[in-house]
Amino acid sequence: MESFYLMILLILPLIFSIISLLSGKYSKVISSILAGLFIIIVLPFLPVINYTLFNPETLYGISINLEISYLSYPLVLLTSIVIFIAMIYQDGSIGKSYFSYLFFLEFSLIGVFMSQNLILFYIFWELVLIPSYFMILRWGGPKKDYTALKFLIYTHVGSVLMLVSIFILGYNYYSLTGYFNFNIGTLITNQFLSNLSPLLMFLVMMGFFLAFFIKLPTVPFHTWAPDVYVESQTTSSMVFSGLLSKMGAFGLFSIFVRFVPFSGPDVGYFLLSLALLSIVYAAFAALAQKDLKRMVAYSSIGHMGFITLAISIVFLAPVLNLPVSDAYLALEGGMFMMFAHGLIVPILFGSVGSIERSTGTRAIRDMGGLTKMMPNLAFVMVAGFLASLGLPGMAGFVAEFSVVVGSWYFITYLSFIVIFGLVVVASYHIWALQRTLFGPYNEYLGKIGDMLPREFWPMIVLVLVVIVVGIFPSPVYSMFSHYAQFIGGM
Amino acid sequence: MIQYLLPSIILFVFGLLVIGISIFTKSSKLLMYTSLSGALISFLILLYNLLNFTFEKYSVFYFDFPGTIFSLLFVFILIFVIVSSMKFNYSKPELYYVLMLFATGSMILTAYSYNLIAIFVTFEAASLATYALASYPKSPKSLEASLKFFVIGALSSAFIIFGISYYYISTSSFILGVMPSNNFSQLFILSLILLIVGFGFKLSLFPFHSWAIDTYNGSRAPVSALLSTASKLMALIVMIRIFLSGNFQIQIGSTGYTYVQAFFIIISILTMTYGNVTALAQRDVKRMLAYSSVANAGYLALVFTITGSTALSLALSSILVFSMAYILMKGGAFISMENFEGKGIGTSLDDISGIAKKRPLFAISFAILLFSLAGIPPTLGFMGKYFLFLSLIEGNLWWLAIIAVINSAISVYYYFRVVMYMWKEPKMNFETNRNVDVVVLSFAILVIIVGILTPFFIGGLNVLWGGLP
Repeated sequence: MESFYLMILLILPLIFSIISLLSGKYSKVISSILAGLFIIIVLPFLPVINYTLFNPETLYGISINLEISYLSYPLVLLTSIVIFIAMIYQDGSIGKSYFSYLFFLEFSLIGVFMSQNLILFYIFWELVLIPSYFMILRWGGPKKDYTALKFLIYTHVGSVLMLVSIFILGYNYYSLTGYFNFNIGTLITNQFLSNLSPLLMFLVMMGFFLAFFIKLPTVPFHTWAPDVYVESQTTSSMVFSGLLSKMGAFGLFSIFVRFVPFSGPDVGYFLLSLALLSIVYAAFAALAQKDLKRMVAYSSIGHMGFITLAISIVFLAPVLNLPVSDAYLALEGGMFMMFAHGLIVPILFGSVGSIERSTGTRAIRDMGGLTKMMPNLAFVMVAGFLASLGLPGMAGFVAEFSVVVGSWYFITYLSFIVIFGLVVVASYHIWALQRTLFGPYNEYLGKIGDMLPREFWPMIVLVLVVIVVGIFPSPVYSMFSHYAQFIGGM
Repeated sequence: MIQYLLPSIILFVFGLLVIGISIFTKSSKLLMYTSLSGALISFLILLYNLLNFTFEKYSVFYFDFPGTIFSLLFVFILIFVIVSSMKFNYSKPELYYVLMLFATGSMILTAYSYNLIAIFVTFEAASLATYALASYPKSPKSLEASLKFFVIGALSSAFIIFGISYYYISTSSFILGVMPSNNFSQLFILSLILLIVGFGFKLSLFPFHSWAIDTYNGSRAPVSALLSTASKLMALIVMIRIFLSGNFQIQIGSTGYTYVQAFFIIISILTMTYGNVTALAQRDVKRMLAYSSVANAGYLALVFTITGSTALSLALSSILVFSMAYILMKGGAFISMENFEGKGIGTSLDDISGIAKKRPLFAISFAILLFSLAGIPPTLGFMGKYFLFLSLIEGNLWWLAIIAVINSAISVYYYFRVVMYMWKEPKMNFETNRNVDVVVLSFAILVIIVGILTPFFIGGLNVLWGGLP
């Protein structure tokens, strides 16, 4: 019976979506209350619960197989928190359909994080596209049409290639057993993967690789991300960078790592070079940005580089003849980065959004001395930027520290590249703070207002959560440790 | 026997009734309701037949499950086409309804035919009615559509007749599934190729597709909806009967069978790719839909590439699901064009831009149909493709499944571009036709509900189909 609640947990945001569509002008209030309620509903679902509704072998591979694992519980929690924060932050005059889209997005994201059947996973993965496409298209900036289509095509190409991989895996299972079964636990096991020919193995890994790394995004496939984060409206950017990128990370940790025993030595080094490239490239790209929101977008891409780094460490372990248990620290750090980044990046986008609302500009050189007029914003923004650059005592530090220390054993001197990247990260954050908040006030901006209460209080809550998680990470961290051991056991 | 012929007879009788009424009154509304009631009665009888299904076999007709399902689909789209053309105000409305009823009545007979002469006669009867239908109401655009359709159709009939005559020479019979005599096995393969070409014209497979673009684009939207769905599926069921019947493989021999299969693989890849790539460049929505219907013909033709009994049984049930999806989404998409065309607005992307702000419900339902065409889950379009590609995998053709999946990814661009234009800032006021809105909305709801339920009933379809005799 307990496991049946998972189904209810999945359906609930969909019902909320309809309620917020019907609630007319009180949409914001009702939606926020429901989103807050949902956090309370999520909390008691401690891992691990598994729930299967249909037998996949009688339904051509499709079944409703849901699971709250040690990996998905923090992500489901993160989703409900970020959606709640975004709803409080959002101006209610935007119209009821926006809140409805947010709930629909929450529904599909939770579906992605809980699915244990690949077809169900694919369905939810694709379903995420629809609300996000409309959120860009209807409430985006001047280039919204171009951006929406670019976003759609990039991510859809990735996901279709993933469908190809899923089909090949299904074909493999069918040719061995005579049934279709797309449950991750049965399909992607060492026993079945070892039967794939090298060519098919390559195609399968390539499909998953592209789907997850486009969504993450990692550097050569990142070009949709800055456009989408910049062109979307503030709360949409919070949700996209905070949650959509976690889909890719989730796929990497739950599906892609299962291919470790079957990958050649090239894969680990290839991923490592992508990770280092992401970290360094994104840092320098952010340094050069003139648009504050674009800078934050690049910082987000840089943080995703740490997740790629953690994944590459797992792939390097068999190559260097080291036990997988040595990679646990980096792996835990990578997973913790998902959680920490999901909490930190909404603060950054939230403060940039407030600046844009009150000054009417995002260009860094038009700002200066904003502390004078916007003290509350200054507090939130400084806290957010420090968290983002990895100040000890905040959530980002735990993740970055674990990844860097954990990877040292594997890549030794190459870690200096990561450290160098971190220095650039710190410098562009500080430099941006200096040019926007401090220094002489730019009098051309005139008299401007501070953050509104609806913007200030959710950000304060997030800052508090980031600090609490940074000082006392163990409740979340221990879940990721469990999951890292689970990966190691495979 | 009579219970299976009754739906068709009723359509013919109501067609004559419409002519009779038109002698006394030219009221378009009365004629519409008469033909609508005929279609509804025919639909109910078909539904009754489906529920109390028994297989009956005669020398000319095989009254079997796929025939009944396809007839049901033909009459289903006929009902909605009639409903959506309620506001037509042209001269001689009786002709429009009579031709539609006669065409669909003949299509039902085609779906049950199991003898090449019967197939040809009923196929021609349905085609002739549709040639005239394409020209209604007389406008330069629709006359061009009709003329192209007729000339190409006549050519394809010549191919079919030629093929049938060779078929008769090699097997000395018109009934399908008869073994050819040993001396004429080459001639038999030639006859099959002629039949593929003849019916391929109607199904708009790649080298024979060019009429389809102008005809679907030129005729009135509801007519295009009927032509691009029912008329195409009629060709599909005939081809299924010829090329997938139980002893076709024995009939043609294993070498010949490999050739036919390879031929279909090449044709289906070319059709999908051509349709999708050319649709990318279209800026007229109706023309884009015409190209995408060519691409969909490629997916439909995939079913002929599959071998192996388990793979084939899944393929046959999945082709039913795909046909259902195709009727709903393509028919619905063409019918929604009536909202622009019927009001004298063009159908280019700029003309439709901004309709979502003025008519949100219509825009959302049209968008759902486009999502389904693009294969976005959990719509019926996704499920149809999913099971079709799954059967390809089952038949060891995983690389063909990959080509099809990538094709389906290309198509996302042009479908979502339409959605993007619909949500732009409106330039003018839109007046939509309420009947069309209702039809499109109900199709959109069906696409989602049936899509979610598909995995549960596809196993049942498998049992009911029971392999072709």
